[in-house]
Amino acid sequence: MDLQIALLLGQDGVTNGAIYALLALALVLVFAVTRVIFIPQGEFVAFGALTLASLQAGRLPGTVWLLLAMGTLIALIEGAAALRKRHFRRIPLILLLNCGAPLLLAGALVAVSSASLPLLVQVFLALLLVVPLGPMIYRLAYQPVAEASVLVLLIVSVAVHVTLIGIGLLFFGAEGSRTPSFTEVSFEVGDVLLQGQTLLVLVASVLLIIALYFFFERTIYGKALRATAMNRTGARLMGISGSLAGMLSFTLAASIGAFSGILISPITTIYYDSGFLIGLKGFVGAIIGGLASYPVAAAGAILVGLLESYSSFWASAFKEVIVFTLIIPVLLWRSLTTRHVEEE
Amino acid sequence: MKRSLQSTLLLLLFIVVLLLAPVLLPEFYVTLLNYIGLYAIVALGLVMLTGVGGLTSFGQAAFVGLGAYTSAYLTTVHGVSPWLTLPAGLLVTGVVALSLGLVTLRLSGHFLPLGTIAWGMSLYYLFGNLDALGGHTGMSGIPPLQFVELELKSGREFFYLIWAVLLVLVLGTRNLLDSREGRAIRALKGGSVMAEAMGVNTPRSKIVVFTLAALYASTSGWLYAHLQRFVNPTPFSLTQGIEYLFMAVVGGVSHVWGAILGAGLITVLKQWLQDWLPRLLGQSGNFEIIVFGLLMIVVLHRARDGVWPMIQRFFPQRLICARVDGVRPLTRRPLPEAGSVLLEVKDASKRFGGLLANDRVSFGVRAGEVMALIGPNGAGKSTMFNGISGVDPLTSGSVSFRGEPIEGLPAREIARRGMSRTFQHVRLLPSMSVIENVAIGAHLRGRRGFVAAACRADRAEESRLLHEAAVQIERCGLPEQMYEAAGSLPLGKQRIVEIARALAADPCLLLLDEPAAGLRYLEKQALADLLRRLRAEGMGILLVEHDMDFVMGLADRVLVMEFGQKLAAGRPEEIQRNPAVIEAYLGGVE
Amino acid sequence: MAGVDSPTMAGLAIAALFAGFIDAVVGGGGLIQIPALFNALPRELPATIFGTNKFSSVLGTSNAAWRYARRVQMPWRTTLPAAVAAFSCSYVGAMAVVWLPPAMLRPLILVMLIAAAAYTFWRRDFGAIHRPQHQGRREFAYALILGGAIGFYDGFFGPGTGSFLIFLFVRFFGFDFLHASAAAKVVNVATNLAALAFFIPHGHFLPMLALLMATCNVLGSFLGAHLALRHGSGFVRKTFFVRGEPLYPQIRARYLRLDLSRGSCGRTMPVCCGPVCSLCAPENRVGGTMKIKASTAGLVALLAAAFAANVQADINVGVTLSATGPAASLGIPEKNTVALLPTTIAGQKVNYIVLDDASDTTTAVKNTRKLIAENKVDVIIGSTITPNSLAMIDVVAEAGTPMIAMAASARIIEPMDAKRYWVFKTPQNDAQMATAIVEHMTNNNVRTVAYIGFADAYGEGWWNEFSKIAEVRKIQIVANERFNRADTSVTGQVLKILATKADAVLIGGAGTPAALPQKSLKEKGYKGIMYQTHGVANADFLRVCAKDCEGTFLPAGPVLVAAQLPDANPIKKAALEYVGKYEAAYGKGSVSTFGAHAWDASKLLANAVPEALKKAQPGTPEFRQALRDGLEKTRNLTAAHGVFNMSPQDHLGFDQRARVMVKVEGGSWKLVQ
Repeated sequence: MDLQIALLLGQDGVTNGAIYALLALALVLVFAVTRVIFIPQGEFVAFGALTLASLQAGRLPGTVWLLLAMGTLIALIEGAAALRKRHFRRIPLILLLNCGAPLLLAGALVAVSSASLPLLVQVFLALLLVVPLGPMIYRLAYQPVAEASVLVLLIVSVAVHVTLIGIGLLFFGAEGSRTPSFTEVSFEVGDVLLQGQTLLVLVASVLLIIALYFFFERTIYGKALRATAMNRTGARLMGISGSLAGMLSFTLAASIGAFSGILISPITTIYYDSGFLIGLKGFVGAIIGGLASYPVAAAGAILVGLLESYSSFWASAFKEVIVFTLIIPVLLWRSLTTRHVEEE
Repeated sequence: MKRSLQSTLLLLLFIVVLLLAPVLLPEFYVTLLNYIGLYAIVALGLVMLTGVGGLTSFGQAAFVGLGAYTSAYLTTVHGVSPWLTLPAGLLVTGVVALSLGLVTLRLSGHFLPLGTIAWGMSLYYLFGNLDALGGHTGMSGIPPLQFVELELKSGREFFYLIWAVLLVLVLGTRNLLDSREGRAIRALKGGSVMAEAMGVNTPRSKIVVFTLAALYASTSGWLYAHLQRFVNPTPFSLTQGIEYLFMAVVGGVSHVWGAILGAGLITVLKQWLQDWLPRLLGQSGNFEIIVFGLLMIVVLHRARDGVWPMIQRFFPQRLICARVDGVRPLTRRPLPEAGSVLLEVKDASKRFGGLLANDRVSFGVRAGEVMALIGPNGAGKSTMFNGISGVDPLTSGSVSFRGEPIEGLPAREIARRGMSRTFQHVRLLPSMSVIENVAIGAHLRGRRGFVAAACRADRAEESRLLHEAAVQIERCGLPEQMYEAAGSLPLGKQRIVEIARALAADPCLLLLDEPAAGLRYLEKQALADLLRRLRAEGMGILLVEHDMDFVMGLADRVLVMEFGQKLAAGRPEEIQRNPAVIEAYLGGVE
Repeated sequence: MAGVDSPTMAGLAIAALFAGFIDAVVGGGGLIQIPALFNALPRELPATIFGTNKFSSVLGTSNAAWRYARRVQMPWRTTLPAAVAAFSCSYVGAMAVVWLPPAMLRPLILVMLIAAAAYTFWRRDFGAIHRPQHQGRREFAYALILGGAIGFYDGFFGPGTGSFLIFLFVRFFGFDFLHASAAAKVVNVATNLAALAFFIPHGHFLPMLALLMATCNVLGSFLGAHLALRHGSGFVRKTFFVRGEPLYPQIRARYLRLDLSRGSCGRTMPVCCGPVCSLCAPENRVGGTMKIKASTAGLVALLAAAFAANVQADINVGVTLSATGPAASLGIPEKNTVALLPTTIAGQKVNYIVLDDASDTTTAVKNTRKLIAENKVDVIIGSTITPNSLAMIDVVAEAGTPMIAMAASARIIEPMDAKRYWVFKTPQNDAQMATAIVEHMTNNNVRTVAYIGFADAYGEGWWNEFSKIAEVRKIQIVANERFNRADTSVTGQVLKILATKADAVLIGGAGTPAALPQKSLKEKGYKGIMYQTHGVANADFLRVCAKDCEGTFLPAGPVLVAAQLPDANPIKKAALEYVGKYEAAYGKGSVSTFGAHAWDASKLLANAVPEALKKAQPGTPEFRQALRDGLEKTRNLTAAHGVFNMSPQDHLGFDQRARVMVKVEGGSWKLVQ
């Protein structure tokens, strides 16, 4: 292995690691706020990428149906609750928000041929289709059991994951898709050819992480989320609604997931079930960060990416064995250095 | 007892149903039941590991694989008899589980589940990449099991083997959980601090329960290999590992029968969906998993403790851990002579980062006296308790107990030497009965291990332990609440249960952290009487308490702390007159 | 109209009568009519059924509306805007029915039917005083929005619209029941007309049946409206809420076996059938939730009956394939193909029972046992992948059931032994394909080759065969790399291959995932020859790989390039027949070679069954034995992938004709001559 190969592998590892890092951040966020270990995080990556691919192929993405169905379900649940409490005024709003908006979006997609739109508009549409799924999933699957134990929430996550995988297969089929690059530029650094898109992934990830930092430090919603993460009861006493915080964190997680998917789909093929392994590796990164520290989670994710890249060079058949075996000592080290306070 | 007779009858009925099932059911349902049995064995291990012990594992499928592959390899490549491969598989799994356990069980919190995912993945890909194990394609031609002349080829024959194994394991597990070691495992879920303070070797308990669960999985794998007569890596993947956990949780993860129910529900549901959905929707394949996932979400919404507790209501509750009278009481430890020094604390300091919680505090406790530790909130009293009892060791300073240095010893070793304590924040296992909670305190006074418990050879000792627990509960004045769930008591009573648990350890030094908080006046008086009696027996008592009347009326000596430092020490009346105490602690109210 | 026999007509007429009555009184008659129609006419398009349903109910509804309008002061200020909004939205809803794929519509209908039924039973008591309120601008908006929403619903689906409307008028506009019912009828007429305005011009209705049902519906609604007006609001309320004595005697629709007992089973939805009827018998006065459960169960059962396949047939063919899980891209075309297989062979009806094994061996074995024990199949086709097929061998051999595998590895049929006696397969052996590649390599002076394949049975199978043959032909293999189907990057492997400077690279993957190494190699500047395996032979691969795959070689079954085969080749006709059928059903360019393995399996059956039928009855061990023997005796059978010549030692029986070399050129497959 010469330096050039080492560099290329490093670059590959960091690129993948950046995506894992984004997912790790989302997972840490969701866990800290809602105690949900969000296994379906990876599905947003797949849904984001595949929705964009469908739009580019001029097909109506299946996610529209999912959005409509979940919106209707929520409208029914919320509507029934409003009826029970005799808040008739709220019904039109509930209908408009949960059914009207998705319908409008669906109508727009049917009316306009999406293949001819500029790439950025397509990306925006894809995000518009996928991101609302996050809070909707929270509302339907997690909110009713928000107070349950971490184990139960985890199992709910597994069930959601299974459902989404099935839906993904139904909507997008078994074969994968790629989307065109955002940029065709490439740079030559020494002997190494750097693809513009790879660089874009890195830059965008870093930018997103910085944006998240500002969100948490500077905005009221970000602060509310942080407060909830630190002390759920305390935050509730301060008037921060737990379900709002949950919705918000899921919205963020879905945006990060879908965005990651859109970022990497030009450099790799994404399948309906790609999300699980990508999410799992993000999860490893998140755990290395103790599901609490954002920078350590990001660093952990990059570490996973690098491990993966180098081991696929040395012994590709044993790549997963190497990655996951090497993770254990890291975990051990993390576990010993993290002061684990027993829950009262 | 009538209830136990009823439950025995139910068990017999269940066995009869099992015996008849293969005769009456159509072939395919027997096949399904076989798979349910196989899954239930693994889920049973998870009930013990996750539901009871609180350790989540995603990697059980890999252990199933170890059992299956060991047998497949030995029988096909080396021609070993299938019956010999069972112990071989168990041995391999045991060794692997022990070594994995030694590493991963040190992981705390969420590191543990991830650790199990990590080695689950590793083992899976290892199976797929070893040519000797047939790689990803798998190994075929595994011989069937043979009973003398009878080859267990058909599902109906195999059925009896699988369910016999399962039944033995279920009963063994149930017995195990209803024993001294079982209580220790259950104590793990409430956090290891309390268990350690009661003398439970929590790392050992974790390793044992982890290895046991792995051995269950391995047994299931051995059965699988000879039922299927083909192995390849897919059934041992992470997905399947998750599915086992799924079964356990849906069935009811804290109940042994929940394992069977969960395995049955999931297997049958999947089958029905596959049968019915295509007829409803006119196409097959894709909708099953969607509907399955949705149904599971609904089930979890409706029954987050699993389905078994819903069914359990229709069955008579077997009263486990009932008090047994007329047994030889446990031997008591000889108490030291009254007035001899029990505990000697010298220059004890505890530092949390930049905060000095205890600053060179020295004091002693003698046998047959009540020593009270008072001071405003945040003075470092509980920190001192944790330092002495080994729950959170001191940064510097020395502690000697009955003449032996004990600083640096783990809590369970200190407990073994005769010190017992209660916690400021009550640490009871809320779903367990009061008597079981108290019996955890007597953990160190029993000897019988896992095997004895599983085959019910520990009953004599168990009844002595329970008798002791009952005696302590009565002594503390809670005889009516003995069989109630500890979590259902008011907080004050829960504190009394903590004291009873500490007493069940037969201590010579008792550390009580705010025992009177939340008690009513009469209850406080009763508590004071109890403590006086204990003192008269020659026990040393170290007490943290805020109720000044209680302290001053009871304590022989008082130590006042402020900002981690010793402010004053002396007899109660001296303390009450001490100007520094009045100034700093009583805030000049008088 | 063809195919609707008189008992069906009679049953539907009774259903329409009852639906009309219910509709006139409280609405929700569609809950009876639609399941009845779906049950009676399983082969019609959903749009046709809706069209017919709407036609039959519009007259009834109009009649009721007319009768109400004559007797009740119609609150036009609210009703009119609602009706207008409902009319336009309903038209859009009807368009949506036609525009949605039926595959999607059916599950949706099921769900909506259950939801509408549940709703109908969930309602609680509400006001009886006519106190019109909300007459301002906001109420106008409400009327538009809610009327529009319900209108869309009615155009799209329908059942329950009447009751939704009544609910709307009572809740939002403070009408009492009689007024609300009257207003609801008017709006309902508007929505029905709008839907018909779309359905009829597009031919989505059955005129004769619609007329008959309309007549009955009017009759029913006449009765209903008459009773409602005579007994006033109270009667309507009773029909809504009272769970007491059945007001009407039981009417038993013989054909549908509907137990139309109102009152106990529910108010408006007494649809139940089979065992569920016992739940709904009038004497069982079950509580509210129980009723919902019972009626929902009834609906499900009815729908189940409606959608169920015909179960009476003679030859049962069990199919287990990997339609989900990692091998889904192979299993789905196979599943699609099974849907195209002939339903009769030699005059005997053939049933296909298709199960999904999710690419998992345990499930495959479970499916096999089920097919044998439960469905008593005469032959099993499957599974898609090698491990699953290997695991099934023991089971089929034990049961003495012939099996035709659709997986590639030669290990499935070799070495021939007592168990493999029962096993056949249709895909070319890996070895056969690998030989073709190695030959092509030798002819093109390839000295060194690098291999990169899936880290699963597919990649492993190819490696085993390819490395063996390459060694014999003195081609040096300089790298052996693996990657996972879902990997996002193969940079490490690709760099390693580049470092070896191999003359050629063989990629052992299936479907679109096989494009990833190729694209990476191209991106990193690899210039050598690239080979793929026949696993990539579908349109999706070309779509994803695009220009990076130009010049790639792969061996494939002739079906991939059927049109380019010389006319003299007998396979051409057989292959084109399959391609034509498949593409007619699933769209141009959708065909993949994997589906053809299922097609060939059915060809083998069609060839062997007639002889076997002469020897024994289907469903007997003798028939299975005869079928097995017949399969083994297959001679010169031309199928989509080649010509079968089986023998006791060779249960595949393909020769060189079963594979061709193909090159990717200009974004499509080109036969290499």
